Amino acid sequence: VVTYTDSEKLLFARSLVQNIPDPEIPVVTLEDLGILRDVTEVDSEIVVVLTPTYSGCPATEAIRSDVKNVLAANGFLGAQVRVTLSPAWSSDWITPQGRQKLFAYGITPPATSADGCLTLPSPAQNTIVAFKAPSGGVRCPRCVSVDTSLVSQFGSTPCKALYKCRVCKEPFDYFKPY
Amino acid sequence: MPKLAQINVALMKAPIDSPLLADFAAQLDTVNAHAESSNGFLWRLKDDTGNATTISASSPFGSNMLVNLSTWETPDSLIAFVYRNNNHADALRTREKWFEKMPSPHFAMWWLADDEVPNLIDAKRRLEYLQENGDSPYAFTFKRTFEPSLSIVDLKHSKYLLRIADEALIHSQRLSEWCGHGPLLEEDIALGNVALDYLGQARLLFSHVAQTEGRSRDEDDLAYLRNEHEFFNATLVELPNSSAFAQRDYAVPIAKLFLHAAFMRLKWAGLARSLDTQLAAVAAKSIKECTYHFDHACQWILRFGDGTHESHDRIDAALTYLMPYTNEWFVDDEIDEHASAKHIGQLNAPMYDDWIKLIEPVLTEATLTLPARSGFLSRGRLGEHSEYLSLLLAEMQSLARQHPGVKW
Repeated sequence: VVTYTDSEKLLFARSLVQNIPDPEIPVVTLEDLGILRDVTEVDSEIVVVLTPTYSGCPATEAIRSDVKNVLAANGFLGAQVRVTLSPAWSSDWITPQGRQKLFAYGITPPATSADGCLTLPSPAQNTIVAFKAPSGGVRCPRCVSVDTSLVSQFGSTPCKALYKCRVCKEPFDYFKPY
Repeated sequence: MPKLAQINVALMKAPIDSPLLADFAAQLDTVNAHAESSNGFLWRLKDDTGNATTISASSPFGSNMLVNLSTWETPDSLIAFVYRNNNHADALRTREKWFEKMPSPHFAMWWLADDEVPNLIDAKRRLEYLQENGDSPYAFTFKRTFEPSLSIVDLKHSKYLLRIADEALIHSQRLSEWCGHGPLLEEDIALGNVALDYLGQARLLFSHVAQTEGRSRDEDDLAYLRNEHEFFNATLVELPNSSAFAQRDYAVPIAKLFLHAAFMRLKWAGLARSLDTQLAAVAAKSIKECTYHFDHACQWILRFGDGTHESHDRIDAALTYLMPYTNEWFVDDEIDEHASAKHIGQLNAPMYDDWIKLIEPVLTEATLTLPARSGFLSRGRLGEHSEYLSLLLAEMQSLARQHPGVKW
């Protein structure tokens, strides 16, 4: 019988949770999306802390039960999932790897605040949040052209806008900066 | 005086009248008598025989679960009984002989207002919440107890939150009436998305209100089991989608969203600095959502206003109809003043000029005129609503009211 130390168990639990796919866009994991805040051990139970993406995101409940099921299937029976709202999730937290996966899957990843496309509200001052299209244009995930136009800011899920490509004429999803 | 409620459940290895539990059953009356004579004991749930064993048959925990629900003056008075009373301490040590070991929490405490009586449905909810979230004012253990002041009703605070939550919920419900009726597919989806954002905001705030109150009602109770006069949304959001032009006039929800999203951009920006950290977190999230809403509404205001004669007339009529109902947003009463003084929220009246600065340039570009400010004042935020809210609630609440406690 192999026995594991507490820190090994925690590492194992963390790797399990990191690799759980998002229920809505299964090509990216919780780690890729940047919604995993913490995996810790409290009173010998695993505690997973998540940040929801959107207020009304129906995936949050599915993610919560996925995390518990995966952990339970691997022997972490009493695991708790906690949701923290602060600090609010930003699409800036999607990892570079997550962005590549999204693009390969056919969803253009969001422009970031580093591109000047997203001004986040600062609690310290009355900053009004603003979104701008990236200066280079939103790139089509099929033909990689930037000659594209916005169809609707509201797409198939709350996190996506609908674009169309003027070159290959295909519509595509753009993950909104948030 | 606030009082402490506690729930303690135990999964029996055999029926209460079986030989296995015989010695447990035999000492039950003695232990209960000791509890009732303990310092700080207030009340416990019991049946006609004086204990709680027959209650299990009809309890939400199931018939194999023994329940113990009681109220105490303080956590210390409860601790004194649980661990220092000899009879009870003896029973605790032999617990494993009679009861299964449970993976989920079997014990929780919470504070109640003086006039409240705990019930098993609420107790079950708190145990589940404890399992999900660990110790919090809503449900805690001896590992981390909370002071009643953190969870017991600050009525003005919870009413301040309810006004924002109710406005989001009712606006969401009105918008969702467009599902399947949008003027084009993309708009159908867009308004559904916007409605979902508002619903998400409402849900987060209702959960927060439920915890702030520390009373026996949850998010669903707040949405589905309150009556018309207990909703505190501004009247504007409950107004129907119809106009003199059409039964479903798309100019109405667009004008409403335009006015409301502009207002909420300012409101959320202020609330992001709230000392109520949960409210601040909801605000930080919601401001991004309402920025998209405002952007979307602006584009349609431009298209309608600067479009055909009919689209111009319709959006003009919608704005003229709705504008008087916005006056209510910029009035402050004792609820707003309390929130402002406690740095939970901000006063409304000072936001008026900034709001005009947001909407007027868009109207001008759309060849529309800002309607003159009138003296009309609706009273939705005081719980006095238009005739439209009762019909909206009837539709929204019918399922929950006809099937109490129904789950998906």
